[in-house]
Amino acid sequence: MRGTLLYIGQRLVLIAVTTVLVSSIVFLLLHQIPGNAFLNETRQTPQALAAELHRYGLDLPLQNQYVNWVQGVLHGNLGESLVNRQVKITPLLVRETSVSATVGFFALLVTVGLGLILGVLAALRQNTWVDYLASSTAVVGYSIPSFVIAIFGLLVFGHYLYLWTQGTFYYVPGWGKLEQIPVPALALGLPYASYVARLTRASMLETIRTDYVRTAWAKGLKARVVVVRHALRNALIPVVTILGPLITGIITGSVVIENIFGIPGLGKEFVTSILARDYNIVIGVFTFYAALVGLANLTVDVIYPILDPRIRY
Amino acid sequence: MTRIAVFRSLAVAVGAVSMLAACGGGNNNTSENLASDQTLSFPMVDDVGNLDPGTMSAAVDIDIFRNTYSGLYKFDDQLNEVPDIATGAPQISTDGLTYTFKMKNNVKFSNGDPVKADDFLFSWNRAAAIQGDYASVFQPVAGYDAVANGKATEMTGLKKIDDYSFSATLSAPAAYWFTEVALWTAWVVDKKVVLAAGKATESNWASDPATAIGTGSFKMTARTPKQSIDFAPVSNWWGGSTGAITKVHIEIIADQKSSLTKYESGNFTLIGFANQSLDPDDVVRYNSDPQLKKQLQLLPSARTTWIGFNFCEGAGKPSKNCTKGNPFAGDAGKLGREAFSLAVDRDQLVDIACSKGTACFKATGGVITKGLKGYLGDNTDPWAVFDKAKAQSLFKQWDPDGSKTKNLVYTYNTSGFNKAVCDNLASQWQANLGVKMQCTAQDRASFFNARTKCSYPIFRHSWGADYDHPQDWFDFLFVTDAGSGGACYSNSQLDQMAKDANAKPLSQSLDTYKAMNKILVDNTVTGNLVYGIQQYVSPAYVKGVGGNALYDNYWTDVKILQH
Amino acid sequence: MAQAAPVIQPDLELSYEMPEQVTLLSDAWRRLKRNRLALVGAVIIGLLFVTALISIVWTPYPTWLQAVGPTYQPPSAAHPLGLDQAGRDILSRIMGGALITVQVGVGSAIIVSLIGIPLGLLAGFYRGKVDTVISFFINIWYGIPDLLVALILVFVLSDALHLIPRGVLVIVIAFSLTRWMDVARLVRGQALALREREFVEAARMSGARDFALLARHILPNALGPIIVQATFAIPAAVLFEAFLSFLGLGLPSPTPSWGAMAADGYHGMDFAPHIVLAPTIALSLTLMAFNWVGDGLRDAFDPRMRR
Repeated sequence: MRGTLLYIGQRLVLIAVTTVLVSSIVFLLLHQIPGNAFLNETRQTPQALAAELHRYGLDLPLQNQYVNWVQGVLHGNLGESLVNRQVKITPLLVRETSVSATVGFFALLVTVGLGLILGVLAALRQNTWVDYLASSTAVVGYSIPSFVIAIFGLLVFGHYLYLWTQGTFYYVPGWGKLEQIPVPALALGLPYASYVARLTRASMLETIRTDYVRTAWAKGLKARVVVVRHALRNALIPVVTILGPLITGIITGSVVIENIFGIPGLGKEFVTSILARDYNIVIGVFTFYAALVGLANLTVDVIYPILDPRIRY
Repeated sequence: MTRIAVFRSLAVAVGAVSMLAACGGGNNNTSENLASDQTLSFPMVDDVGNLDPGTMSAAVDIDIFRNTYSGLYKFDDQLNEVPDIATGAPQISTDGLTYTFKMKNNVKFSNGDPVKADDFLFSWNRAAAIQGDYASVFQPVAGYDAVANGKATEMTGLKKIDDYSFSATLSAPAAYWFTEVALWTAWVVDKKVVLAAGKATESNWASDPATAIGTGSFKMTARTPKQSIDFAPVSNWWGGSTGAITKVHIEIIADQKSSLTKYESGNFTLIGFANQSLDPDDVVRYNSDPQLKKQLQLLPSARTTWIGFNFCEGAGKPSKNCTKGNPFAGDAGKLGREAFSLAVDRDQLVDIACSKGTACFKATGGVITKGLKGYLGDNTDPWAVFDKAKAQSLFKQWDPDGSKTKNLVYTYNTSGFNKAVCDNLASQWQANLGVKMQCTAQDRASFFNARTKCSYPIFRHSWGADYDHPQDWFDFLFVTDAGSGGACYSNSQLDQMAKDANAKPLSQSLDTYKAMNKILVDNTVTGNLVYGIQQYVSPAYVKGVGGNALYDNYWTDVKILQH
Repeated sequence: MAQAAPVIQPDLELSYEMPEQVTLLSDAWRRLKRNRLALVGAVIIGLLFVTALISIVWTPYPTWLQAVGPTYQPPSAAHPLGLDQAGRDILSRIMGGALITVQVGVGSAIIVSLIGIPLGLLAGFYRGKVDTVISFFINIWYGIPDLLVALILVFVLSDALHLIPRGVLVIVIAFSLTRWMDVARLVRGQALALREREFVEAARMSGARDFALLARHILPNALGPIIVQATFAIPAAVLFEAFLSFLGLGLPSPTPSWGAMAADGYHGMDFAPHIVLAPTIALSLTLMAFNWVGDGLRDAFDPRMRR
């Protein structure tokens, strides 16, 4: 137990370091860009522009700006928006993270849930129509980009089925209603669900053929128990190993999905801020993303030994 | 959405009120019954940028906060300047230098504080010290430079006479200054509240509903950054009635399509307030459907978009910003400018880039937008017509071997509209002149940064008027080294005319400004493309929404009828 | 968005029982031919390449030409896929988009391999400090949303530093700079395993230099998995380009990128769904084809995967 805690502690430190490192790279890259968020097509005088830069400390040498920024990050302060004045970034992103996390959670549910069901069904009914249907769904599904699924979702629910749904799944006023979540979550999760299904099917098949499953089967236990106890548990292991990359993928995917569905989350903020040249927010979003991915991977690594007792830290 | 269901219910609604003008706007019939819910709600794609009048500069912000702040003067629906907190026009000394303002003595801030001359002096000095984008409003006032440089905190030209009157002395006559006093930078803020929240030049008070105190008919009641803003009428407002609206709710929804869906399901009273536009495809859909079209209001807005040509002929010539020569510059480039302007079929441009003419219309009367003072009149620009044959022959003379237009890049700042315009221009120029041109999108910041340095040979340019005075166009765009010119255009004759005209009242200088506009047209300084249109979508039962070329209607004008 | 490149392929790192190349390739080819899905994929890819080549010399209309007919016009005899919101012929643009797709995909696969193979060989062959440094980088990169970093890179390389004009090249480079780890990791594993094998040992005994060992013995034997990995880089790169262009951060207008065409079309899909359908279907088919062929190749090179 102590070993695990120590391991978690070490990993947390590493996550913090990686987070600062990654956002530092983004910070330095973005500060190479000429121009700034304050320039605009009005009667702006050079003095006015200089005054704006000074107000945000953007007239300092880069190293001073960097030091200020790192100090801020270490205190949990990511600064202020350059476009929307007096808007503090940290609370803004915390709020948006909760929105993104909700959608992301349901997407993950779709991914793992649907993926496992399809995979297990296909493996248990190998070479039957169930297998063919599940496998071909998977084989098509993992190639269709999430934004294409989103567009088709909108087309179906917002257009062809509009009379029936009255736009329910497409857009419900105000964010945060449950009905809004399924379509974006499905769009986000479906491609990965197909991948999980393929993985599950393969490892299930492998497990079913092993001796101990055959023995369990021979002992006369009900088939369902065999599957749940032995095969499924083993089949879960490869799924867990790819959870980390899956979460990274869902985060990346959310950038475009949130834009399509107008979901006020981190991904939406990321694109809006890049287009508006609001560096402070872009760097902030990256800081959040790096930390999120790190934490997700840590969670996976902690869950892993529970499923597979062979692994110890 | 094929919103058949919506169409059907709207058909009923529209049928019932079909006698009412579809475009709402001001025909106030007292016998109309008001709906019980008088909430005005509308979406914006982005949150407000600046909440402090001292730093405000975007049309979005101004359209909203002109309901919560006010100043000595304002512009009425016809864009005439009328007294607001002032009792009447200022007394101007015979040398044109000293303006004496008299204030109404019943004016109160939304927190009940009386508005006194001190508040105005404080607000104006503060605005000059903060150096927001429009601080130059006070540039003519004596002592401005010292405050702008941080060497002083008060402009020497401002003097309090008594609690309800004060004077401003200018360093040189500037006839247009009286117009500028009606701008947002000259709005009054509550000295007591601002100082209680921090230093005079800080802005934090303005984003907090508790301390965002102004003299307008509405006050901010709640704000969640990048999510929503709420306003309510000020009770016992000094100006009298605050109208029918009891609540204003603004939601930030970045996706225009989501906004429209929400509007269609009855959750927004309108879209278009605060300089918002509709998704181009949706406007086309609304405009082409006879029922939906009744909800659409298209009003001219004071913005012109043109092809910017670079006038740099060499390093430092004709402007200090120039680094190298350009094919379109000077007399040598005139044929090229003419050819490029003549080769654009503006009907096609308006059809494609302006969503079948719902987002803008052909610019045929010079660079100053139709409807503003200084406009030259319809079809007065001989280069804003489509003449492929003439364009080709001019082009042949100018660039016989194609060397001047090799690897031509047209740069614009990223926006859907600018992209659509550039794609269409590229298509037309390639089809009509055989010029292969690349469209390059730059983010706004890089674009303005480079354009100010006159780095682009040919580029998107556009200007939205700040007020209805031609000075606003020439001083910032076309005089030598104009801050927002981007073309490095320089014409000493024009400079002199601008100087003379600016010193005279508009009644005496309008002809000079028009002559200046004519000079621009004759020299094809700008390839004028389109004038702007502001779109509003609202159900027929929402009355009084809309606006004039510069501003939305005040929220006090709006009412929602029973439906 | 990264799903097209399967995130982890644990089976790939196992050693392959194919000492002789000729047998390996011919055997793989035999097995590939039996995989019907891979064959369908190969046909689609063939069509894509042919379309791309034709589009260089001919499209029904120029891809940039607007107003060839009424805007939003649905498919008709003259315009089989209809016209878009600017009155451009969609079929022509789909054809032009095929060329962009091929350039992005193939270009990325090549550059990813060019970066990944040497680094992987170095790490796997020399081990020690070189391996530590390279593996550290690989592990750090796996911990960040790489496509978003690539997105920033495109922005910085083209708009900020003006190093590479915004176009196919900058997208390929940004993608490759953030995605070489898959190949490097794989090659490292192969090199680690192969360097201990008898035939490598024998060559070393007979005095072969390191470079010769790597070039003549290790690399050829690792070729199968490398081809598989490079094949999977193609759909990933194509998807990245579509993703960028869909967000309006990709190729400059009016380049007929499928992602940009989808973005142009999806707002008008209420009344003109044909504008969004054509590019999204083309994109999905292409990605599917590459994934199927990639799967087929993997199965062909690795008999263990066949079940």
